[in-house]
Amino acid sequence: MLPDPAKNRFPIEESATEMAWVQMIGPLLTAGMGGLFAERSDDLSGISTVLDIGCGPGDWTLSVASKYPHIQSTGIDISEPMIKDANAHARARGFSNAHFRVMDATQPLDFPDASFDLVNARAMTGFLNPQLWPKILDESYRILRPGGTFRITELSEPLSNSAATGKLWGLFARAMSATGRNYDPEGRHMGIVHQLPKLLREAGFQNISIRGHGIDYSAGTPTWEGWYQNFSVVLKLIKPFFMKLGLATEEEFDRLYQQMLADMHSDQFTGLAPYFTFWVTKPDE
Amino acid sequence: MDSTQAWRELLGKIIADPQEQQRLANALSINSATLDRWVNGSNNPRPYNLRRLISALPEQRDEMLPLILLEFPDLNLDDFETTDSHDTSSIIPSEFYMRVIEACAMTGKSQRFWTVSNLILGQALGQLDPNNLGMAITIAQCMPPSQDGLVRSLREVFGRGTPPWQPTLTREALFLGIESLAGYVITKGRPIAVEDRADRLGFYPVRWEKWEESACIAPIWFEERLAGCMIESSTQPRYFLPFRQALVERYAYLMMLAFDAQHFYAQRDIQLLPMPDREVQTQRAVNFRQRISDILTEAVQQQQPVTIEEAERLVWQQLEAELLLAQSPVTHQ
Repeated sequence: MLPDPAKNRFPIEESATEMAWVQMIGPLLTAGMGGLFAERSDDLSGISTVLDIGCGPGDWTLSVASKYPHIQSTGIDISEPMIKDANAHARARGFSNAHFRVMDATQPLDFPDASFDLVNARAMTGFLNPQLWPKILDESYRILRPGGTFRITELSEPLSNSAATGKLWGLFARAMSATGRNYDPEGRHMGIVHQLPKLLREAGFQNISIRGHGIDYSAGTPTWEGWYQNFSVVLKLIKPFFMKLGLATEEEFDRLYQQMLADMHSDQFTGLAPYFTFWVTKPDE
Repeated sequence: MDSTQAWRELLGKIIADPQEQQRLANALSINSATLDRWVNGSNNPRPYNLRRLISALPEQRDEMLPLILLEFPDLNLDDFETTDSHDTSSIIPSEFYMRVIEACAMTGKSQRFWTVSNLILGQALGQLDPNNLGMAITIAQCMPPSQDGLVRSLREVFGRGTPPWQPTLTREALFLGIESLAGYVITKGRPIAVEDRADRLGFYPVRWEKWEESACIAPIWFEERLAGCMIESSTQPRYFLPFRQALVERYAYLMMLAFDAQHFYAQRDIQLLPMPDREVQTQRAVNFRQRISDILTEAVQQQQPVTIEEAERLVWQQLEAELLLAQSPVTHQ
């Protein structure tokens, strides 16, 4: 039976490996984006409260708390184990300005209006769908103070000279489409980055700015190792989702997967992960 | 000075050493001038900074804490107390132990090393380098025994870092032998900290890496057998104070859970040989990933699945043999 998109399930089941993968991917993405707030040269003057939606085990939230001791940095995530982990990290590091709460981002958020100066979200494609995107953007708008900033970063789709890698990410796009999780009914791509400016305008945000981050993970780059580990782990984690949808047989998947590993180890391998950050403001009253 | 302000006097003595003042400022993520303002009373630290201050001064903790409470009697003592009266910074939180144990229980064999190593190194990095001053943690694992049945080198198999290092450290074709500090730790079977790149040169066999100013290495034991060691490198000199050394040792104990039992070797079966310099190794192993790729591609074409672990093991063993032969041809003829 196909997963019910209305139930908003992440295509990867919760597990220790998933937790470890999320713990790894956060710093990898932050480094690839050039830092915590590369689009504003890490200048957070005038900002004292930050919310991170879908914070996972809290890497980004904790990094903000560490770098900006004057800022109250809050993270929310639907996963209780992730939040438990994030809280343990905050305590172990001695941070009293990092806070974590279990919260379903697709439901009304348990924060008063105008609670935050900046709301951040990264890689939400996996658990949202076209019905839920407007809701979460409306909630982000509500909890931002007038003049506050909303920023969101999403992946287009990884590009490479490996046919096997391309086919596997193609399967992912088709799976997202087949389960109603993206804005591309044909399943040609991840289907969100082209839609975000329109969605942000419809939510009432102004001054849309866009910044692309092309993360080069070709053979011989310092980033290769991290993205190799990322792909080799996440595609194994997502395999049961593909199998359930019948998009490939197990044999076909395993063959593509092994070829992907081979291609990524080749001296000739080239790869680029195109991420886009959109940042917008809530109009002053 | 008012007696309730005695903690400021003590802090003033501590930061009379400019290096210590900078170290404290870094540990607290504040400007060093802020410490001066606390000392002269023109500014008061926030509660969380008081806690960080205490954490950053483990040796003066017992003297400093009562003095701070004289001026700030409303501070929550629970923030400072620990179960065994030692600094909390040297204790791995129970939640972390539980997370790792759950991961061991619920993760299949093929994913266990990656999952458990990733969880432990992520937790260790956060706790050992909470303010992202710059740290790399690497796992060096004993290579499988050579034909003579003895372990001859270690290889860096997994690593995580905070800037200036990459979040995921590249697994280079780098073998460590008796000439390395990791090899020395394995031979001695006990942790060693080298406090400062500028000091004690020649005492331990250290080959300093880029950005590395101090280092601490602890062996990974199970049933009195060794799998390898955990290498912590910091951008800060004298970073591995006794409480951090204790923490490194505890994380190394925990790391035993990432390995299979057959990856541990009795110390008498580990007789490391000298391995060539990094530059020599890099030149010789320039195509090691391509070799792995070739093995995997051939397996796909012949429809004979070979796991990535099997392909890597084969290439690493070939490379180790080549390097040992190049290093000491007489011994291995």
